[in-house]
Amino acid sequence: MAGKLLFKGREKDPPHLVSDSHQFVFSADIISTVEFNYSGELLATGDKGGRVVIFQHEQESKNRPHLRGEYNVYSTFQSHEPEFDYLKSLEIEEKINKIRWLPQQNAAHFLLSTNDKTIKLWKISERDKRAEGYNLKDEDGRLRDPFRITSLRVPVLMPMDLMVEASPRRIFANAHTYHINSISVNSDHETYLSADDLRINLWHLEITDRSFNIVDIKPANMEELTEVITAAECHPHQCNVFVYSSSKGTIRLCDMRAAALCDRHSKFFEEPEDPSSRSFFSEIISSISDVKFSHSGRYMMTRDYLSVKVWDLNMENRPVETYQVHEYLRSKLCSLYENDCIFDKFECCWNGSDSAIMTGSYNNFFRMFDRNTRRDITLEASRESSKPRATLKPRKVSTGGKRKKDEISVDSLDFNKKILHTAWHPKDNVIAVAATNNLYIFQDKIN
Amino acid sequence: MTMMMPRGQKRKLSTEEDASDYRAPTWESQQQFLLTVSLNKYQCSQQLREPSLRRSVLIANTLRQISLQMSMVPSVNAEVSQPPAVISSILAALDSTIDGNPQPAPRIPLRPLENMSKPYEGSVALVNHGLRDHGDCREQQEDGSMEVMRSSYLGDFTVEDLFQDIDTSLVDMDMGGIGHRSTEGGHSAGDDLFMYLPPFSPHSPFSPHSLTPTSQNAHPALIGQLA
Repeated sequence: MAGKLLFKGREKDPPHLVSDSHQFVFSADIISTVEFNYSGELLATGDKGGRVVIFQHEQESKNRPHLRGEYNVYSTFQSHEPEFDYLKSLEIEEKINKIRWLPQQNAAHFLLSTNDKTIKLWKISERDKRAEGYNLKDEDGRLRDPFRITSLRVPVLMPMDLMVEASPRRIFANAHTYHINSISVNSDHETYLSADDLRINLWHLEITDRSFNIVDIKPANMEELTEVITAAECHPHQCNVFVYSSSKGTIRLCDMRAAALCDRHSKFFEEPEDPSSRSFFSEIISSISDVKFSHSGRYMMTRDYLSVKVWDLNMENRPVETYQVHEYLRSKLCSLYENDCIFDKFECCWNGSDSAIMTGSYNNFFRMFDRNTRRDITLEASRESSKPRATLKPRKVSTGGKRKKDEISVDSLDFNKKILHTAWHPKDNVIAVAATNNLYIFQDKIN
Repeated sequence: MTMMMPRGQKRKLSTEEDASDYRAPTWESQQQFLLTVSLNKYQCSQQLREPSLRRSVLIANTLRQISLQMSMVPSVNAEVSQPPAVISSILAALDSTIDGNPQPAPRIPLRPLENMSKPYEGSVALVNHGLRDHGDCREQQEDGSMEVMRSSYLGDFTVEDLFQDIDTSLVDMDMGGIGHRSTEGGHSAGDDLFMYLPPFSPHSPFSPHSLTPTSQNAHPALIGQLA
C-alpha cells in the first residue's frame, strides 16, 4: 500500500539534537496508546506522562479536493497523575495504558482512559458560544455597582473561539490489585470490562463504587502461578461474549450467560506447539500481547512476539491464518532475551473491512498484511524516510548473506525504535503509527 | 516526573547465535549463560519500582525449564553445572515474591552474583541464615547479608507489633481462647497467629515480607486487615 504522509509530530519541546548519534527524548512524551473513535473523526493518544492528546480530522479543503483533510490537535488534558500506594511503598505510574472511546450519543464525546490501577471516564465537549450582556457583571466578570444599573437587558449568546473542554465524569478506582492491561467497551454501551494480570472486572458506566469480578485466575498458592492474563476484549456484537489471552499463548472465550464467574471458558483456543522449533524461549515468544476481534465478529486476531494469527471463532485447535512479522529474529532470541526486547508487547489492528491487518516491529518498521492477496509490506515511520506528502517506500530486511541495495541487515536494526501502537481508521485507509514520542498519520492516495 | 533518557547509539544485537538446540555442542554453556542472565534479570526486576508480574512469571518459568533440563542431563563439565538445590531455592525465592504485593526494593542492593568469588556462595549463606524463629527481625544480625532481609519499614517491628491492630477475636474463638493455648505451649498471642500464616520460608533471601499472608491457610480476617 502506497501512502501519502501527513506527519504530525506531537512533541511540545523538540528533542534537543546534540549530534548525529545522540538524541534525547523526554520519556514522559512516549506515546503508550493510540485509538480512533467510532467515526474516525477523532484520534486519541495517551502517553507515559499521563496526558491525553486528541486530534480531529479537518474538513477537506475546497481548493484541494483530492486530498483528505489533516488531523490537528483538538484537545489536550492531563488524565492521570502519579500516585503513591502507601501500603506497598510504591509509586503508581501515570502512564496511560489504554484509551477506548464510547459510541457518540450526543454532541459530546466520551472516552475511557486507564493507567495501571484507575480507569476514568472523560467527557470532551465543545463550547463555541458565550453569553454576553449580563446585568450584574460586566464583560470582564467584575460585579457591576448595583446603583448604576438603570435598565434590564437579556443576555445574548455570541459566537466565540472554539473551546474544547475535557472533564472527568467518573473515576473507577480500587478494583485492581495488579496492573490493568486492557479495557473494552461492551456492545450494550452500558458496561465495560477491565483486565489486569490475574482478574477481569465488569463495570457499569454509571456505577463507580463497585464492579463484578468475572474472571479470577489467581491461584490459592501464589507459588503455583505460571500464567497471567495479557489482554481482553468484548465481542463487537454479542454483549455476553468476551475473550482473554494469556502469557502461555492461549485464548479463552467466555459467555457471561453461563455463570456469574467465567472461570470456565466456553472455548479454548491454542495452537499445538511445533516440536522442532522448541527452545527455552518458546513460551515467552508464544505470550500473546494483544487480541482484537474483527469488525465482523467472526474472527479474532492475536499478536505474539514473532507473528500475528487470525482465528475463526468456530475453530479452536489452530488459527486460520498466520503471518510472520519478523521471523529473522528467531535466531536472535537469546540476545533479545538478554536486552529485554523479547518482553516487548506489540499491538495489532484490523482495517475497517477486515481485509487487512497491521502491526509494528523494530527500527520504526511496521507491517501490513492483505488477507485476500496474501501480500505484505514493510514501511518505516521516521522523519528521515518520510517527508510530508511523500509516498512511503517499502522497506526490506535482508536475511540472507547478500544484502541488496536499500535493504537493511538484521544486525543494523535499531531495537530502541519500536512501534508498539498502531491504529486503523474504522472506515477509510488512514492509519496512525506511534514511534516513541512521535505520531505519524498516513493516508492512501486518492486518484 | 520527566527525565532525560538518552537514546544514544543504536542497540545492536550481539552476533552470537542462539544455540537453543540441546543437541548442539554449546548447549550446556548456553544453558549456563541463560541461567546467569535469568537470575540477573530477576535481581534487577526486584530493584525496580514495581516489577511486572508477567515478566516475573515468564522469567520464573524459564528458570524452571533450565533447572529441569539441568537436573535431567548429567553434567559433563563440573565447572559449568550448578547444584540443583541452589536453583530450586532461588526459584522458591522468586515464587514467594510473585504475588499481588510487590515488595519494596531493599535499601541495600544485593551484590551481583558474578562479583562473588564462588558462584552463589552469597545466596547459599543467606539460605543458611534464614529466620527460623519467628521472633524479632532485628535479632538476626550476625551476617552483613542479613541487612537485606529487613525492609525500610519493617525493621523496627516485632511480629506482635505487626498484628496489634488486627481483630483476632475470630482467631481466638477458633482456637478456644488464648488461655487454653498458653497452657499447652506457653505461646503468646502473636505466636498463635503464626499458626495461620504460611511458613516463613528459610529459602527466601529476597523476600523479607513473607509475613504477609498470601496462602489459603491464612485466616480471612488477617487477609482483610493486611490487604
